[in-house]
Amino acid sequence: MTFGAPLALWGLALLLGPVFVHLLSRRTTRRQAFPSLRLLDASRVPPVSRRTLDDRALLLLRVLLVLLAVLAAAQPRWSMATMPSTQPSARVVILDTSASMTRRVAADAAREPRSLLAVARARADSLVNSARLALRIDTHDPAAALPAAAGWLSDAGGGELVVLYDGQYAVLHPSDVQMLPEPISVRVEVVGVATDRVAAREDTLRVAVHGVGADEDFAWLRARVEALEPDVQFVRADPLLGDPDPLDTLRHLTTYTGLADDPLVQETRRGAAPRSGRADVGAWWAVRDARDSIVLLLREGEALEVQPVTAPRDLETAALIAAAVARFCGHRHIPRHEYEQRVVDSAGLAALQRVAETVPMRASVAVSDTRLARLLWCLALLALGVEAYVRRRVAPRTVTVEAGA
Amino acid sequence: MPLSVEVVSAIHDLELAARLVVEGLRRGGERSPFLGIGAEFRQHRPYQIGDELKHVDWKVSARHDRLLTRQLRETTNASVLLVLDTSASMAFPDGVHQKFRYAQIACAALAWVALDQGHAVGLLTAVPDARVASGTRLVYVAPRSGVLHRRALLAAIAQLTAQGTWPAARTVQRASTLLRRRGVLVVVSDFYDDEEAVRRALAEAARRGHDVRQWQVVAPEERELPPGGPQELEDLETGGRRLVDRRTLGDAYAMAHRAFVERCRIGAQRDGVVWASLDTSVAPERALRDLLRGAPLAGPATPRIAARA
Repeated sequence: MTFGAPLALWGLALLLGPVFVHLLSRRTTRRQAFPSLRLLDASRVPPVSRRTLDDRALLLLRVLLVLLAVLAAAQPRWSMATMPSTQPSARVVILDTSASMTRRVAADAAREPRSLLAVARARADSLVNSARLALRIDTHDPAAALPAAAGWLSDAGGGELVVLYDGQYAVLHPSDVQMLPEPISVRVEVVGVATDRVAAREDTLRVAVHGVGADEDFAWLRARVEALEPDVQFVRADPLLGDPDPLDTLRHLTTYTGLADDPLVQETRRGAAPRSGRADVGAWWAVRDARDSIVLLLREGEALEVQPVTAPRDLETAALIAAAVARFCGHRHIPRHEYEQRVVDSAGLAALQRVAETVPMRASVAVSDTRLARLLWCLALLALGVEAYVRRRVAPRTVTVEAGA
Repeated sequence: MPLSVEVVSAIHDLELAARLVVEGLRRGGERSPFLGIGAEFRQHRPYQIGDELKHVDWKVSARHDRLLTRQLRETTNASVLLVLDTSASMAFPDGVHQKFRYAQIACAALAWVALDQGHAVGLLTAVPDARVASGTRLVYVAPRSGVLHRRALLAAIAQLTAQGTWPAARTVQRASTLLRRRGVLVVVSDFYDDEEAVRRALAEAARRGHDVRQWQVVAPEERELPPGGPQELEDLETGGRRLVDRRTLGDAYAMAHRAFVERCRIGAQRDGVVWASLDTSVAPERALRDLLRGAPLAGPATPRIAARA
């Protein structure tokens, strides 16, 4: 088991709290020797609260409560296969920086959502710092970086290769792992599969336009899209620095919207090598942020200089694509869990896990599972309830006095 | 003025403490009942304040021109067996009012007085011993008389400590069988034991013809719950603990304690046992005087002979 937020384990120091409380509370009642309690046993008067005998149970409950809460906050993860018994001397961490990693998730309701990329980067830093010799590769295509990472590890005399990604479709294939040479162990960690934190899709789809072009061109595009799809809110987004590769987001979108076979999409994907007559504007679009908006990304052809978007026909194409996406998404109301199922490559992860099982000492797949954290929170709440019940139950106690004694 | 319990208890040497008590009994400001209870003339001695006027030998006093009192020797010596409770509950409370220390002094003083009167005095008690299957071992000093025996007896009493539990009924039964002829059986205890079993054992001893004295040692501190708020009481014998609050449980406990003492008293009266309460706040000298005045140590077979003036 590993932890997504190992710093939270410092919270185990809180375990001292219940111990101190019990020690202090025990001191509140002084103990006094008495010749015999036989006459007390014959009393029938309600005495004070009694916690001495149940102190241990209460202490255990409170310790358990703190322990569960801290463990839940530490975001535990199951490891599907065992790791090599010896700690690798060298480690390569491949961090997926593709567009889907910009999704924002939160481990629990009490926390602010964080982007997957931030979570993964923290995890990568932790992995890098814990190895004697480490290399970190940030890439939008982890599979493509595997051979280079394997070569580096081989030169270092073997070691561990860790891939951090969000379990997206077709990012990593079992064959990618199986092809790695023997002295390299592989660990795949899937970060941030937090289905409940993906924001709900609204009935109206917000379409953001990001790109380079004259204002009048965007105005035209907006008018065109809104004419095609009245429900769509057309928002022009500011150009973002460090945007992910549009091809990643395009692949993402077409995967989960099922539009991969759409002629328009295929034609757009081929935009990397645009046909003549349509190459002045690369009509690449992508979903930048899969949570709540579609970014219509208009980018200049790679070979071209930055020019104002002037070709109405290409804009028309972009508008048609945007409208098609908006219509598809808006009318289908993809539920969150369904969306998540589509985003996360469950079958691919299962295949990776099978690979890890067949090569148990070489590879493992750690899946960040919020269900475990949720289970721990539930158990902590249960412990809280039991603790309150026990505390209230032991407070009043009645003993009886022999009446004519 | 009798020595206070604080003074007597503070004397570490039991023999000295007992001697002071006995001396106080003899020279007490009040009348002294220990001139002798036998019928045989022993000696004359100068009259002391507290001596009954009926014991004054007026003829001899007239001859010697001073008041002389007749002292009588007991004609028939009795065997007195002291049975002392050594259970941990007797080690309450800490300090000068401790029941066990009080009981030790009372037993020692009683032994001294009885030995002075010519009685044979012995001791029986039970002390914890892990080597014995029952967990307790009987300590027995056979009733004898004499100064040497007095020292041995007082040393045996002084060596005892209050700890563990005490098989009260078994010890009383054993004591009644150890007294071969009719004798005086003085059981000094707080009787926090199996009430019914102890009562039956005392009754059986009385039926055997012994003069059975049930001296119940009671400390003022145990008549009521300790003052203050909630506190945890620990049973000195069983180690059991209870959290109590005097504000809610105090009256009921005091009532239960009074009822307990009353049960002991009534049961003793019914069974022909002489019951007395030894309050550890009362000076031992005064307590012993009151006890012996009511029922002198003459033994059941010895007829009470009035002193003849």
